[in-house]
Amino acid sequence: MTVVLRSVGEQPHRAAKARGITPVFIVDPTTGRCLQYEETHPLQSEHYLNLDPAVFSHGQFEIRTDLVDCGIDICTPDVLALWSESFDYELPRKNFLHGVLKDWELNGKMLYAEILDDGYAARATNLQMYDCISRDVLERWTLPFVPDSNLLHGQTYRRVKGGSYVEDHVVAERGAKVTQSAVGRGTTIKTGSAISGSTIGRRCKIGKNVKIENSYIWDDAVIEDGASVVHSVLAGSVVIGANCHVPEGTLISYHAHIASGVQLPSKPPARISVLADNKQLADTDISLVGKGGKGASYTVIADEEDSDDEDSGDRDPAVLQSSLIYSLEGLNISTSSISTLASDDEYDSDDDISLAGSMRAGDFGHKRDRLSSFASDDAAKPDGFHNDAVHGLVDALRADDSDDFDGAKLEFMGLRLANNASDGAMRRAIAVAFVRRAAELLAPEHGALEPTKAAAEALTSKNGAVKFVREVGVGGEGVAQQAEFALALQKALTAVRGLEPGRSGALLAALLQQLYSLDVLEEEGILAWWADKRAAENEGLDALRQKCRVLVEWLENADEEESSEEEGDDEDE
Amino acid sequence: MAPSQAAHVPTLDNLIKSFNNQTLEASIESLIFLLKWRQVKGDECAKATAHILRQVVAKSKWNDVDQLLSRIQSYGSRLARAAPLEPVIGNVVRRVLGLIRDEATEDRNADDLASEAASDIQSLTPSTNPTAHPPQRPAPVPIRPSPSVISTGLQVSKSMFNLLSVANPGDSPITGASTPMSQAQPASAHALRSEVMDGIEEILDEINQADDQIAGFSEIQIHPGDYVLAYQPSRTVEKFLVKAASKRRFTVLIASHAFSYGTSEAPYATLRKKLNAAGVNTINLASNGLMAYIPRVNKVIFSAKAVYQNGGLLVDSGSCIAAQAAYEYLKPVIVLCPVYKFCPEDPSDEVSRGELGNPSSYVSYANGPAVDALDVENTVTDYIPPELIDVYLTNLGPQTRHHLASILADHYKTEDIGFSLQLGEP
Amino acid sequence: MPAETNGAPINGAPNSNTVPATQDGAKNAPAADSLAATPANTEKLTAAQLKAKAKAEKAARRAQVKEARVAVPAPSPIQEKGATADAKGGKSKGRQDGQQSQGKGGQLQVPPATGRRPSSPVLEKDVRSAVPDCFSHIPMSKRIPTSQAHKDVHPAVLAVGQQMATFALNDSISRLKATLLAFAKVIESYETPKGNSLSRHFVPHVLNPQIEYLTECRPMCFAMGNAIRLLKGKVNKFDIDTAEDEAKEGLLEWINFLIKERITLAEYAIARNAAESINEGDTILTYGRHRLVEKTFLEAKRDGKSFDVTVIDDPFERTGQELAKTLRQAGIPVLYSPNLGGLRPKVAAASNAFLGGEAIFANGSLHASSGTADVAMAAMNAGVKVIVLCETINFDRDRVSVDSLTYNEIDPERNTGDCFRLLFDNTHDKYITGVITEFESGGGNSPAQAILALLRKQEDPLID
Repeated sequence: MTVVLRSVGEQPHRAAKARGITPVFIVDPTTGRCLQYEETHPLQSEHYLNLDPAVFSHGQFEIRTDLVDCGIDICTPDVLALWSESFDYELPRKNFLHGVLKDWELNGKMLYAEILDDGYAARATNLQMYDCISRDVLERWTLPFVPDSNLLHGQTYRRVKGGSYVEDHVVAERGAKVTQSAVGRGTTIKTGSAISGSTIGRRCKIGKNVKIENSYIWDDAVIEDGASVVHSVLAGSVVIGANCHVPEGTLISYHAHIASGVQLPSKPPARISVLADNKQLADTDISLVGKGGKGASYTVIADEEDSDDEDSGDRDPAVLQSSLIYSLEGLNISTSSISTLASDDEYDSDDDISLAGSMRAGDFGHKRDRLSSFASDDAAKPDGFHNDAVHGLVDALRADDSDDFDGAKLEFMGLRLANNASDGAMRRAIAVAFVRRAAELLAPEHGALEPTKAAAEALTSKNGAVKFVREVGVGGEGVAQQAEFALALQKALTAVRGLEPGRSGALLAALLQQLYSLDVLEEEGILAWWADKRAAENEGLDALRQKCRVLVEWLENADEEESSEEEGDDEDE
Repeated sequence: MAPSQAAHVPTLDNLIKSFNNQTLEASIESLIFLLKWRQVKGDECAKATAHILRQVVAKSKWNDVDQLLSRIQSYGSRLARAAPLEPVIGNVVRRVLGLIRDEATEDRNADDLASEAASDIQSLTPSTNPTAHPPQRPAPVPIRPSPSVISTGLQVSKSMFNLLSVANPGDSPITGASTPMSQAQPASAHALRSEVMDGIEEILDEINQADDQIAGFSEIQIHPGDYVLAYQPSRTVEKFLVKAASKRRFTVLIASHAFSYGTSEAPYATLRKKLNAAGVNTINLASNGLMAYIPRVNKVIFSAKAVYQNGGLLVDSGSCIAAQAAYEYLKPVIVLCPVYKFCPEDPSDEVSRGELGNPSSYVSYANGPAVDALDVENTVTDYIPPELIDVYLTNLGPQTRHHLASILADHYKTEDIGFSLQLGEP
Repeated sequence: MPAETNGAPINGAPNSNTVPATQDGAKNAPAADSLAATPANTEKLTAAQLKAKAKAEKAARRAQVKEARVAVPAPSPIQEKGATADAKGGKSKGRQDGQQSQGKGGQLQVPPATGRRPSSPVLEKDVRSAVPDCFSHIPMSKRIPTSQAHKDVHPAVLAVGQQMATFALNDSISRLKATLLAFAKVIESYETPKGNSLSRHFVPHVLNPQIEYLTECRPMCFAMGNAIRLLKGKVNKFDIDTAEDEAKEGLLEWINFLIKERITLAEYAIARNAAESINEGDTILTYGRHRLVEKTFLEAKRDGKSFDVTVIDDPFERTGQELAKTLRQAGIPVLYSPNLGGLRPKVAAASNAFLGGEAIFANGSLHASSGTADVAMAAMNAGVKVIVLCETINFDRDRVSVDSLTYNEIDPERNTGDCFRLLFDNTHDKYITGVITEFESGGGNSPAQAILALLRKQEDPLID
């Protein structure tokens, strides 16, 4: 496979800035062979990478961070085979490229990098890249992909004075100034308006004395007299009332309506949608969009892992197109990216992410998840196996589209073999994964389930998950193993941030009970855990443990009452 | 970037070959695609257009002249819209339209003679052409006002054309063949088809031979001891200079935009080799400003991409600098422009502003600070106003600005001059 | 002229001066003393100078290795100028004579220097042979390894010469400034030999070798010619009896004054004057990068004016790119055109064209970087005002040029079989609306001739 990359030089470059994640290619310059692939980004806590010692066996190698990855690979049929063999490859870069290079001794497949020094290559993976590429298109770096080539059917762009591209049937009144912009068919621009560096869709209505700078306004939008829009994205059919101000970084989704005279906030820039994250109509927030407006502030909570993946490879473009939510999510991450264009906004966006992170239960440093599989930047848990395994399991548990847990199990076992992980490590990883999933389900954005329901959901929603816990997690019939697993659950719960102790205790109890009723844990196991000193060795653990008292007492009682009946069962197992 | 791209670009010949194996629509689409991608440019546009129109005549369904005309018009305008800055496309379309009109006029004259047969024809038509629209097919082909003025113009053009183009021996027999009185109308459509196709063939010949014909005038224009400034010599100019070099000793100063990056090859190496071999000195000027050298120069030569009816030129950018400098020093400016590049229109705003190219020819995209900060306008075409031009050297011989109107009248029908007006509407 | 210069060393005759020096043809013997004095000068080099020298040497070495270029004496405009001036019987006669005699004398007095020159005639031809015949009269700068320089040449001058030959010092004013500062060092370290006076001895025996060397490195720019003329005039004015210290003091003071008045203050004043002529909302067109133009734009921006700039660049030099970036950083909207393509529409959209000049001739024509004439002409034809920014020290009051082939230089970097380039071109004064100089008058509307007249009036007292 050959990866096609465009070099953008060592000096600051807008395309490099817009990438979000910096891909690091370690390349043998003599053969063009790619030796290692890593990703870095400014938010990660540790700014170093581990080089594979094998890299040094090459006479020379280059470590390149100056490349824009356009996501085009030239493949041999082998690649598809490799891809299908390795079920855990989700992302073509982070997983596949990284993985194949890491295991190249295993596969014996070599990958190459073709680094272009001329021509144009880029991929609009996020809004910032969208912004960057749009500017490149307007400035003709992408020739012949420029508006006036009219490459798409039905386009009729012409280049007019002022460096703008205008389609047929655009009416720009005298006194309207359009520079360095593209304007779609049927749009009208009234006198006194100034549009610069922007892309305006078709059939838009732009009133008098409107100021639009470096913005993207999609089809059928209406911008009334005297409004100003700066470096923002306005989706289709948005209405901006007269004399509104839309500051830098704002995103307004389809059909939203901003009433006249509203000054949208600039810090942080608003993200406005008429739909809430649950795909229902949102209640209009009059304080934000003004009286007579439509739309509310949109906050992302759902399916963060999808939206965080800058690599669009795994995202179905159809979803993006059909679903407003998804497109908004896409916009949303990129809001933070777009606002980083203004340097002082960068902090805001950082805050956003960390706030969101700490709000979410089970997040466990989600922003680090992106790289945790290989960049081992999670200082608290330097164990690579643990992170990979937990990540894989949680992903599998979260997956909406499949009820099957076998894949995750296989992956897990593969990881275990690859890392030669101990039984203890496996147990810990499984406990953490399930606990995290269960805790996540408690959170309001996932339906705010009751602890019992959450525990049941986490354990039983996927076929084979219970079996997996029983066979791998507990890893044996012995009481000691069961106690260990319970302990692992308990410890995992203490590590979950954002849950009040009471709730996590309840969750622990619910999990134990659920496991008990699923015959994963036996009462002896739970009681052994109860008796274990380690379960109460510090305050946090003890607090959790106390919450299980009821369960334990019940178990003890049940034991006394039904011992004769239970015995038979026990012997059977 | 050109060399790397060029490797994958289908050559014009391949493209034209592919026309035969494809449906008409597919051929048109592939040509439009290449035009939009700017992979077929300049002279190639003319050739490709002629070839494709030949396909239109051969493959598309038409039963009478009107239908054929409208076919050509609609396909032609699609092509012309695909590359608004390649006026030669429109020119070739107009030429073909004119050709059809001529042939139709001849046919009508023939039909007038055979008016008696006409009634039979009408009864025959429906059976041979199931898709035909009988009411629209009256015996004399409905030609819009084709007064004698035009037909005399046509005569002139024909005679001049035949004088200079390599005579097509098949020409007269075919026109003869189209007029047999006893022939029925369906046959006349058939005949028209072959006549028009022959006519297009002739246009193609003209396009192919134009450069050589122009080069034939080089002796007259270039004198021993001349210092000739050639701005971005195109193939036409190369042929001209090489031809001149076989007869004369002179010096050529070659000026161009900028030497392309990265290539170790000096620009115009092959041309220079040829000229040097013929004993003609060449000097490559590494300069955009040409005022400094003009005092030394006797004449300036470049070729045009199109000549507008006012005499203004569409040229490679920078030629204007050469023309202007020469004008200021009263040095003659000779423009090489085959007749098929004469365009019966006025230059549009877009033309006078010039086409913009890719900034990366001058500023590397990897140069981040420059990409971020600069608003690079790399103009690749210029418009030269007519007053700067002294001689228009066509394949019909040297012309002056004042004579252009008659050349245009010789080659285009008044009906077709407005062809471009249809361009605006999809 | 080249034949003469080349011929002399081959003859090897120490006193083959064809042109007797008017000052004192028989002063060759004392010249030896001055030679003896020069080695001492070396010790007085400052660290910074040494560094600069080393740098220049290195650059020169590299360039030499790369291009295998050999030192060739080239005819200089100054020498040609001398001839013109001589014919006119102008004031510069003495200078010209001194220069020529000293020029040859300098070479001849030091046989080792001649011997050390590896410049075989064959190789010499190689360098110039790339020059097309029709441009063979135009001089070209060249790199003379410092080891091959005349030993009279002061180290400071040596460094400057190298920097000029490598185009590290490129525009006329920075060359002038460096030359003047180097001459100041020469004056500082000068000691009049016994039995001589500074006013008689300094110019022919000390200053002229320096000038000769600089000219050999790169044909002198017109500002340097002016300054040297003024300097010589100053030296000649000293009474024979003037004490050496007093004279040196006076000369150093005068050099300082010249730098301050004609360079530093002039630059500021021009930028001010020009900035004031920019109106709100103007679109100013410029060509390449000229420090005065750049300063003007930044000055006008500082004044709070809002205006656009169109930078037309020379694709073979690409200096305008830097200007465009600088202006963009300062917040000025810039349209950057990397070549002269589409010049007509771009010029037509401008309200003014600001062009920087290297020199202005007595007939008012402008000597500026190649391509300027094309831009000026296009602007003038489009009815756009063409305003030239130029310090008065660059005005040449003696020479007249009507085309670009009279005074010019061949670009040594682009003089191969494959390409050829002249560094400058000549813009006829009909394409210039006005010149902005440090003089208060004008505001861009006074033609060069008016300034020349003023200049004549002003400068005269300096000389006499």
